[in-house]
Amino acid sequence: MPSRDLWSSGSSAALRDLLVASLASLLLHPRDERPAYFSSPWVTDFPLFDNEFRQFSTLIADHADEPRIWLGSFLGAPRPPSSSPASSSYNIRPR
Amino acid sequence: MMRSGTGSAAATSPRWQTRSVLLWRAVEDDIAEDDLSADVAWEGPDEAVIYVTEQSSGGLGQVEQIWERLVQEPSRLFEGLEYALTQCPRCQNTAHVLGVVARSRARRFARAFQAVRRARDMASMEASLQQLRRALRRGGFSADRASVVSLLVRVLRPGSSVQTDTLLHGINRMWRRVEQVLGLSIDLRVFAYHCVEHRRARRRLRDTLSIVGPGQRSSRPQLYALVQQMLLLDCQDSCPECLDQPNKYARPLKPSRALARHLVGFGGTDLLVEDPSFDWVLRSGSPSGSKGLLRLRVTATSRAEVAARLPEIVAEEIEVDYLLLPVRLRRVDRLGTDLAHHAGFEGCCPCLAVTCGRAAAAQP
Repeated sequence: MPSRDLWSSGSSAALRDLLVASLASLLLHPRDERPAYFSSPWVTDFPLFDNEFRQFSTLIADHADEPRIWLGSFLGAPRPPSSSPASSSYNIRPR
Repeated sequence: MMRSGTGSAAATSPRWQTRSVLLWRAVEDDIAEDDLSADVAWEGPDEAVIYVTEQSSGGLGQVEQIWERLVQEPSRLFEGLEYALTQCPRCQNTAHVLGVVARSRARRFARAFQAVRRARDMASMEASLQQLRRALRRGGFSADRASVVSLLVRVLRPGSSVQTDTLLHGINRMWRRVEQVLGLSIDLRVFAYHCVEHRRARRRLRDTLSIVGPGQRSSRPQLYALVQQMLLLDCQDSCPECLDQPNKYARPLKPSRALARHLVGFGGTDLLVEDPSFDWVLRSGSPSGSKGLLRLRVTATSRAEVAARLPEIVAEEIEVDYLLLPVRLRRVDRLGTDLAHHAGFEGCCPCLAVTCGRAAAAQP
């Protein structure tokens, strides 16, 4: 199991970034049912994903329009479905 | 350079007009759109000053607010710039509507569409909308209010049917295909006129409408209006919903997203991960030349592998010069019916972007 030690204050961006990447990888996985464990003397609902530029709207569609996605929203988020073989797809992107 | 003031200078070229709009969009946070404007003034051949101007007098401290935010999160400016250069609400909305319509024959969507169309009172309408939202979520589409309203207005309006869904799907597909063949964009009105004047297309339109309203023959102006309603606009260079936001001090030039993207030059390296056994972690460990950015495009078959190995790269720090820098997940995007996942490294160290979906559909 990969691990990383962070030596910082609680408000460190590095800690949040590590959490974001780790927890988002759980949502990215199509069928992974592994639980996520948090071990902390004190846990609160904090803004987990900075979604100002809709960076994580795809992962948590129910809160797509919110500028910040909170830990509570992540815990209640359904897993995004994997791409299904649709008859046709439109990938209209700004050119 | 960012200066605040009550005056404003005019942008002198289309590319700088584009950049000023981009910067304005990137730095804005909790400040309303109308409160700020951004302008570029040349002070030499290679020197320009960007003016971020508070529109309302009184010293509300908006520029200071932006500055403090940028000092706290320097990468935010570049992420905002990248967002402004790659995302357009109109494109997202069009992709959403067309993506759902493309799958409207799937059982889940067909039932939801039928329920909405058959709803005759408030209670049944509310129930059908809930069913539609569930179908959208399970199908991997956004189910927020804007997305549902777009479908109700564009696809599920009164008089619509399975036949009109097929027509909408086909006519938009044909529009994009013709544009691709010609290599240039076709104005909506021109293509609508072409559809009405083209004998086969006109016959198909009339056949579809005869199913909707039996016994009535549509005139050409009616067909023309109908086709215009069915064609869904995307954003070629810029549109009023994204970058095309002129102000009174700037010349009325249309910004170009592609030109600005070329000039800004975000750089980075793209990796396509089609094979689940492809060792993208090894490749991402060599940041040289990637300008701190690595984008992974991952097909559906290798998505699980990439997701499983993502914690490995997140847990390690990458050596850049004399620093060890951490990995940071930057974005997760959806391309049409496919998913696009972006991850990144902090600061000026290498970045990683992960795209999930079918390789053929995930064209940049």
